[in-house]
Amino acid sequence: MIEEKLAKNVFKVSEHPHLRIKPGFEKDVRLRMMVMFCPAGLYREAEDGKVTVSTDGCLECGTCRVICGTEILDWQYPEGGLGVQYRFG
Amino acid sequence: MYLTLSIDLGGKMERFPVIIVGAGLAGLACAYTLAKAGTECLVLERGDYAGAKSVTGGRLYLEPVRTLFSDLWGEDCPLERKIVKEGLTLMGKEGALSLELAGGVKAASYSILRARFDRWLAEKAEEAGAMIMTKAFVSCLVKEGEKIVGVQVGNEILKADCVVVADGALSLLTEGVGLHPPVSATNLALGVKEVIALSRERIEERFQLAPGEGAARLYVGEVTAGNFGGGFLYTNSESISLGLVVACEMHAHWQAPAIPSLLDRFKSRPEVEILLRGGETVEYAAHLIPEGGRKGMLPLSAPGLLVVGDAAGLALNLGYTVRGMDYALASGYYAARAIEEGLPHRYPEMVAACFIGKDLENYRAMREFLGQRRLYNHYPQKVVDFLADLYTIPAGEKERLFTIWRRHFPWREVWRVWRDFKELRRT
Repeated sequence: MIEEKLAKNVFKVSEHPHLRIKPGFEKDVRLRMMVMFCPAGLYREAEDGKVTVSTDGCLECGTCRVICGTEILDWQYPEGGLGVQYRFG
Repeated sequence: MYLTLSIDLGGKMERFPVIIVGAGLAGLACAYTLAKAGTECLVLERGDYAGAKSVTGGRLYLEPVRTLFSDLWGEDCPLERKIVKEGLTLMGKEGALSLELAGGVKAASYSILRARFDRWLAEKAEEAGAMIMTKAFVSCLVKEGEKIVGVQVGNEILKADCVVVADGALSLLTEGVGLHPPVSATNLALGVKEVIALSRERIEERFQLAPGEGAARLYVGEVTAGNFGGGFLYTNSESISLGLVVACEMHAHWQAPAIPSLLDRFKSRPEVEILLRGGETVEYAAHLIPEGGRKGMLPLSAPGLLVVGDAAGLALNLGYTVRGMDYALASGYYAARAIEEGLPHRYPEMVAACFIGKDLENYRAMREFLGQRRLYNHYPQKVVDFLADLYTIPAGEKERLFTIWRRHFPWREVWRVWRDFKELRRT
């Protein structure tokens, strides 16, 4: 399970989510693709077709920013010293 | 008004000759080279330590950069294993054809783990006199007119005569100052990797390796459910790096399981599972990889600014070799040399003239060749099916060889093979 894998990583959680779906774009087809494509499985599609994202466990790969673009997502790297800290990499 | 980071930097300087953003291989190579030559530089890294945000598959091809850093490769260099076995597996839905080249490769390459390697390189750069500040996130580059004059960290602006951007494959800094439009999904791939702890003895036994020697394997076909990409396996000293790479452009018509499930499926393939048995996953990582080759190269400089490594799109996938780290180290080196010579604008020429520019130019047709879906969703299965029929002895009469051949490779198929592979003449 993806949750078990993410639990192996070291994360330093930020109070400010570094990525956010812009209001009005929750049903965009590109976000639905991220449900399949996000390597951390952080995008979920609800029954009403709206996609939500959690930032806990984000691996900061940036794939969603590349695929969805800045029109749909506010995406920035987490602040210094926060987010995933790879011990092996 | 400019504030200085007086506490963190001991009030040393308000203006730096060189500021480097990102303590990965490219940034650290640049810092190390500059520091060795006596040029003061400050490296800003957003992670807790150098390498905290770095991920490789991964293997470092050492020969191209050996002489650029001749005193780096001593006993203390954290190379994991010297790769002496090169494997390629064509993976069908059932069955897989594996080829392995043992020995014979004339230039050395090594598996590495980046958190360890980058930290070590950061120490080397610091010993040489570079200043490295971690947990420092650069939010944007600072411009005065057309020239980049510094970087912003939190509320503070740090000024520099030259800024070297080494912030990786998704370089928001260069995009932020309009050096290039957002990098297209066509020029990027997503890599995911598990590091699986396994004892030295088991690794050497399973892969039939002498102590310190390592194996690399690439997988193509069903491993990505026929999508453009592949699987990889590298043996480290006491772990295995196992992962997948999928071209970002595949998202548009993705028919396969979600990426995390695809990796699990790869792990549970019988020919892979047996290699990992008893191992324990200790980390799960994901990272973008520049995959555009020559066409994916981004501008290398602007007034006051040099771009190195992944941030400049310097990487090359040939299908059987995947490179980026040697280009990162070399581009960092050449950026430093250009700065030392007082001619930073010459850096792009230096890159074009060295092996990076030449490789990217020579293999500029490769990206297009590798983009053909049939390489992933057709040929691996085809070869496996053909061989499976050859090796099958049924009850009763065995089919003639030519009958089996014609079933799998009728004329129209042979014609397609020619058409699909003829592009390789251009590489």
